[in-house]
Amino acid sequence: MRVVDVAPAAVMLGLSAVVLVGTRELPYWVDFTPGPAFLPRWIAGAGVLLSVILLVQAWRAGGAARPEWPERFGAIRVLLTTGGLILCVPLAPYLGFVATTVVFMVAMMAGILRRRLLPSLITAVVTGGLIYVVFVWWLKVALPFGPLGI
Amino acid sequence: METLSLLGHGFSTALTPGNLFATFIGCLLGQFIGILPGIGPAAGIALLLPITFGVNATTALMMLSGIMYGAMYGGTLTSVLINVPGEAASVMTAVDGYQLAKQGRAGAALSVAAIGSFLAGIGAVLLLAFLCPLLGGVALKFNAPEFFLLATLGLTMTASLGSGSAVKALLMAVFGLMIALVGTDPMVGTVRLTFGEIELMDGIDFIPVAVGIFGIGEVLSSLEVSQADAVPIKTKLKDLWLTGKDWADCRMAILRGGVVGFLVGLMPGVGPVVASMLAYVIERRASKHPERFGKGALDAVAAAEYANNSAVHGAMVPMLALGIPGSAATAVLLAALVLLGIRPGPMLMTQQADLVWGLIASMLIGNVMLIFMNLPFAPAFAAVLKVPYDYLAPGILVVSLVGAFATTLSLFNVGITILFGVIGYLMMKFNLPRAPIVLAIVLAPMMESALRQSLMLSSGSPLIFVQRPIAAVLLVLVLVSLSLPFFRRKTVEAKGDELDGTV
Repeated sequence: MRVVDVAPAAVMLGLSAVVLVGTRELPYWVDFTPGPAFLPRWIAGAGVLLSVILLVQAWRAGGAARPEWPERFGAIRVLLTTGGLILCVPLAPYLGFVATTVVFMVAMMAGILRRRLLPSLITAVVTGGLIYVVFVWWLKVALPFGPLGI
Repeated sequence: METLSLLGHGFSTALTPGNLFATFIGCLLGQFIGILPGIGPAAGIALLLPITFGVNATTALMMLSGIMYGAMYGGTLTSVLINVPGEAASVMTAVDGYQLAKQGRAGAALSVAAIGSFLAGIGAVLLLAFLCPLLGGVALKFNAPEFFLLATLGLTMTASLGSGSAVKALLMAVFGLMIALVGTDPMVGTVRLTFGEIELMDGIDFIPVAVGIFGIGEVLSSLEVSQADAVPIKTKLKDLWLTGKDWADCRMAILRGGVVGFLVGLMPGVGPVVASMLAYVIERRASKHPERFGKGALDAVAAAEYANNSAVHGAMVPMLALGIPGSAATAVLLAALVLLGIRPGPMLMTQQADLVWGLIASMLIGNVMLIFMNLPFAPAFAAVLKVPYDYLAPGILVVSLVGAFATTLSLFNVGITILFGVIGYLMMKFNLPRAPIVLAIVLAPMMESALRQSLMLSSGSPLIFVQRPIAAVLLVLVLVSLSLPFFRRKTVEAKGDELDGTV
């Protein structure tokens, strides 16, 4: 079966089940009007129907079409970048948002993408500076501050 | 005549120094966003939305829409000079544009694209100016049933007229609707699908989803392969001059591309990507030399570029007149309107006439600015292409995170953005279209309110959707759009059988 079709269908079947379970205690109809569970159940029903159609199409089409996953080094770049982005969230309140983004950019350019250190540092500092000027100084967005005041 | 007088009033709004500056900045940023691979106009508008906080809605909208049509001009540069479409609607431009560049005719390709985009933009904006009031007048007769069906039509047309699998597109629209369900019920205020998470009580904000799926997802995808530093084909100012023969070859492509683009752009949920592909196919069929297509045909570039710029402006018609987005970028614009405190819908043209006509006038001005940016300064913008993508990608990612934080001052939203970035990346791997999600999230609140109001009006009877004439027509259109992919597939299978029979 075509994995590119089966996997999304399976995920959507699961999400449809989550919606149905998550709204089972809400009223479907209240007096003369649809209740909070009305649309979720219809949407979940549409999700189930479309998922089944996709599964049938995948079965009839045959073959084993799979996603084109990247090669090893490409996958490492993607995974490390994603990990770095995730780490930004808990670090930002401690290091400061702007400082965290500068650290992330240096780590990404020099560490993950293997660019030279000096241009990476300059790019990160300039970008961080622009973010500070635009968002903190101009727009007065209350970004979390760290020990360096940024 | 009234339209002309309203447009004149719009110019008086658009020509103030602040609004002129906002339009210029929007067009300039749009040009850069179009040049940068890995970020398109939808993500660009979402990312840059926070910088409009604190300015009035009219000025903000002028800047944001400038980003949208400016990106169409910018996308041409990368398509022609390095064979990498800067944004999805420039894919067809790259097919012939890069071939022309290899033949030493990069300047001609850039020139016909820029002039074409300008002419198409001006023509489309003028049509928009006359069409919006007409459509708005019809839309004043709309009530809850019509709005529900119109929003549904927007989603079903995305599926049936977009490229790729219709079932997958509809499934992604359903996914977008599920995301929009999270939070508080819009009519009775009951908490729904939050699973005890307080941060989800306000729902999942639109900006993190759009920025994650279109911005972070694209960048993650581009990181898979080590990007060789691009060497753009050199182009000089004198190469931008077009000969009389060039114009003669392109004149019908100009007309056909512009018309096709505008009509496709009018359809809710379709957008400039489909417009440029359709215009390319139509031009190839109509051309006296179809064998040149794919090998460097100037009229191919003209058709694709005229169509995509025309479609971008055409997509503003349903957005301004009906409150239904015509494309992913206009969906983000619509969300921006809501964030700026403006209620989109048919009343927009009467209640916010200054905003609408000022915006339309600014689009005319913006296109003039863009032709001046693109023709003499094309070599300067092309220099941006020499910056290695590895230095741009981290910047795009951090601006995404900052933009997501700035909308709600919540790190939870930053987490949501990253999650949807991963989801966007996986969607690209599994060939799942992303635009339906964004459209569904924008349309969902209106759909649910309109549906429930309709059923309240009819005491629960679904016959209300067939008893009202306009609603009945819209229902038929929804059913037609759902069945179109089925008939299209049957036609393709039948043609395949015919060919098998003749071999």
